[in-house]
Amino acid sequence: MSQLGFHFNMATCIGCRACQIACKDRNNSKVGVLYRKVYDMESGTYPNPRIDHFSLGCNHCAQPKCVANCPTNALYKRAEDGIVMHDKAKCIGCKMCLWSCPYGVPQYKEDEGKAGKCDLCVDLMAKGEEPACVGACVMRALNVGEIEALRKQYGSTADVKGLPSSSTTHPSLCITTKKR
Amino acid sequence: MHTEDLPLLVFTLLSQWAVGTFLVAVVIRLCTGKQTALKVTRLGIMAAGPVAALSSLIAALHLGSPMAAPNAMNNLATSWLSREGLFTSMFIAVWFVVFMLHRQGKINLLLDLAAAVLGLAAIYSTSGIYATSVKPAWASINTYISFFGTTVLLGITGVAAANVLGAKEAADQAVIKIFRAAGIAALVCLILQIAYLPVYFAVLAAGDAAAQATVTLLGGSFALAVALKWILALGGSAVFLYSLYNPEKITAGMPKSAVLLAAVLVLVGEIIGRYVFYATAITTAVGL
Repeated sequence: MSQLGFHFNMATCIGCRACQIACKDRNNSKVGVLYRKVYDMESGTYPNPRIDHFSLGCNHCAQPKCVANCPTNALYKRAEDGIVMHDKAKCIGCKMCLWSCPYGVPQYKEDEGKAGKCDLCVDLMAKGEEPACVGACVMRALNVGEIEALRKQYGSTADVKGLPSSSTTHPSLCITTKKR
Repeated sequence: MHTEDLPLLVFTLLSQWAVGTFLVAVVIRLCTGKQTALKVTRLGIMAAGPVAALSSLIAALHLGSPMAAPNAMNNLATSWLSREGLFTSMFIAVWFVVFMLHRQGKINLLLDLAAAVLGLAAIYSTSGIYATSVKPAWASINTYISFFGTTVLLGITGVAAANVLGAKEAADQAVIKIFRAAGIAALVCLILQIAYLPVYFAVLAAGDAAAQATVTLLGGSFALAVALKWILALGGSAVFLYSLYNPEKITAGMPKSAVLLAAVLVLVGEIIGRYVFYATAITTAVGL
């Protein structure tokens, strides 16, 4: 299996939220439901305040707790590319996935009584296109691909201040951090 | 605490009451003669199944899609929620056989023990659901200690309350002795839970930001509630023991008002404790 994942470049992200909006549009998400979210993390003190932006969708983890804890098998890891998929028909809306993901990725949809999450835009990927978030990024701060290839190109950092420890679920994510 | 957690508070307490009451009733059936056992455990046995079924119904109704609730048992390999559903269903099924036998004046200790083990497996699974979450307050051995502690405590006071409300067979000195031992067990159970709390707090204090936020809540705005929970639980256990060791009253059997007071104190303490359990669980998340 070649595990797919994301690379995120913190150094170039300007926090414009184009990725978040493109994802919301693509999935026709209701108010409050975000499969990809941009976080703003402030640090430092005057005269050296800092702000970092962090764009986060599903990390399609190597050891996803959401999949292990899902009682219905609605969440499963696709054998061919490691994408964590969600089968809406099986979901019972128990919210176990919300209790299991340290990145807060699965979202509960009140109107459907079910959860939902990023599927890496598998339909677009099948046509050779990029996921909506990657395609919308004006700074090219997001990349998608085989995670091992991305790690070779960008390094394997997945732990940044403000993010939960990567040892919990081993996310398929690598991050280029800001040089300070 | 989020309003959405309220059904879970009710579900966990009811299921632990049901399993605990059944478990303690089985212990009494193992330790006394058949006729005494049939009378003393009558109401306790009778109530355990319906209360467990009610708790399951409440759990199912809190789902986003309640009609799909049977799907909850599809992932027995790794999901504690699936296992909880399976063991709870099996507990209720075996309980039904035990209950039908009881009605016919029969006791099958093997079935009694099987149902008790299934009930304990359900409680273990419930604990596992919380212990595998990303909330440091729950992802702890304290969850197991707390849930089993509640099961035992509610079970002892539940059977005793059912006994004084029902057959009043406790005038039997052998039964009094068993309840005395149970009362001491309840106290020991509470002391063990309290003894683990410093370790629990220390582990949380050394944990991530979510864990530290939980400690801040437990030691700050929820400190009074935490104290009240233990005062009520200990107070209830003390009243229960006093009712069994008061030589003036004991000749007429277990004093009804004292036993019921003990059961109510313990139950209120456990409700407060469970409220704190849900209200202080901070999720490990981005940006903390």
